[in-house]
Amino acid sequence: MVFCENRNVDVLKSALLQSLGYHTITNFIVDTDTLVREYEKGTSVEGLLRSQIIKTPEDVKQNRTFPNVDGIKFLTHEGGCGGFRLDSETLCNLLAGYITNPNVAGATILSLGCQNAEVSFMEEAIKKRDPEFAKPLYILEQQKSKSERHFIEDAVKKTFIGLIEANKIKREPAPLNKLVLGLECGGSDGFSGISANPTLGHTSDLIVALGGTTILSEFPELNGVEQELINRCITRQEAVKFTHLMDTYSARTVALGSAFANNPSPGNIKDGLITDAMKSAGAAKKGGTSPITDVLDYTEKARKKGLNLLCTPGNDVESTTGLAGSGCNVIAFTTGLGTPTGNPIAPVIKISSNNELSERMKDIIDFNTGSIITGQDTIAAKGEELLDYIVKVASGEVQTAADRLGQDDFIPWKRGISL
Amino acid sequence: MPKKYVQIDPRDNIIVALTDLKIGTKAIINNEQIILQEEVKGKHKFALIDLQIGDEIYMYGALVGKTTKPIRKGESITIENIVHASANYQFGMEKSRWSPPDVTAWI
Repeated sequence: MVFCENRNVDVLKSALLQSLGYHTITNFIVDTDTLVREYEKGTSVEGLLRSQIIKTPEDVKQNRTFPNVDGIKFLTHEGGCGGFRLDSETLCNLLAGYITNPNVAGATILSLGCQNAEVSFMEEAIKKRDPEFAKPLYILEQQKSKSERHFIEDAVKKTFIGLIEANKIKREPAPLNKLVLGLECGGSDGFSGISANPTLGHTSDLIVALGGTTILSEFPELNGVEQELINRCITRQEAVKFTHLMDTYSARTVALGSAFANNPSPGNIKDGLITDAMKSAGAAKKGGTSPITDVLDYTEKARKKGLNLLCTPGNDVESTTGLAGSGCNVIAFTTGLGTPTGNPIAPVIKISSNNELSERMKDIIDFNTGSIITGQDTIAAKGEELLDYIVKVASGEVQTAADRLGQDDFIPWKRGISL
Repeated sequence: MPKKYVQIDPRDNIIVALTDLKIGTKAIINNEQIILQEEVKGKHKFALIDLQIGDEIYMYGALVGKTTKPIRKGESITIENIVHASANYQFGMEKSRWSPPDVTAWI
């Protein structure tokens, strides 16, 4: 709940990750415990030399204590106290969004006690999102514990008990209308708006047509295409909320001495995205052509099927963090320059806009649309192929590069200033 | 043979290079020939027509900038000759209609 618990979160991480079989980001794991066990059994030197102590990530996964639990994630952040009270409330809402996200089976929360981000507020936020909430949730308060040792001991034991509960849940087939797909881009280039983004837009249209949900975020990157989005809003109410959020955000950037116009990064500009409107018009292609059923402010839960707009910054990590908080169970992320971004609770599928990137950074790219630029593929065909790929990821058949690399980025959006 | 350049929307007055294009390259858009006045790298854009200072730049059919210098047909579009500009918006315009794509393959 608050930055001063980050060290305790790290202690939990080292206590749980390897021993429960979730440290799988390296090519191989050295299992010294086997040597110790063999030695204690009285195994000879020759026997010790013959023992198998190198394990692949696959070996580790297959021998997990809780095989139905795909991961244990340890989220730290720099917020929760100091600064605007509103930011702490937003953080509580975001954490409630993570805890109630269908990808999450349970959570252990470390609270100090006196911080701005109040436990009661977060509990309310959880109830608001899910009145039937019944996942294992343990909230521990350090100021109520006898010592840090007691505190950690309690946290480890309760998390372990929560994992026993979580392991009772089995993966089951689900219809595509349960999919909530985040539409994200980062490190865009001059081809993003021609290949990767319209491909994702077509995939979004397919998911919407199937009764599913997609969420387009990054409001500074919708600057210049507002009229098209307003025209696509199902009712005036959504259009009014959208323009209100856009205008408020824009006014704040100006008050702080900047503007949406300054959004394109030096890398964007070098690769052909020279104005914010140019970047935006390409970025908005991710949202396809379907009607907009709802407009959400940051941390609001997506409740309506169809295409939703979510107010987040254009910063890709702040935005993916927000998408998972609003209920995305998979995030599709287009890039032209290449970025390793991932998320702790939602798989992030990295989609390259050009062949050169997918070759050069194949370790971080999952899906390539560069063949549209070279004329070998159409946007529609690639969009259909991407939907099939998303289904495989959602079914746990394919692991994303970000997941394999343990790229668990989590940056809550801080809108206020520090006090 | 892959395309070397593309006009994304018929309203656009700038053309995207899909590969590095040399000076003197001839591009044909809507039966009109454009001769590149300078090298244009892939991902970057060049002018379809002669543009005066203050002219609006369209890409994806949307207003994406305004010129700050005259740009001749076939010259490249850079941060030196255009700045950000975006369209205003209002309520009550015509509602978009949507025809969903065929999804029978996934049902």
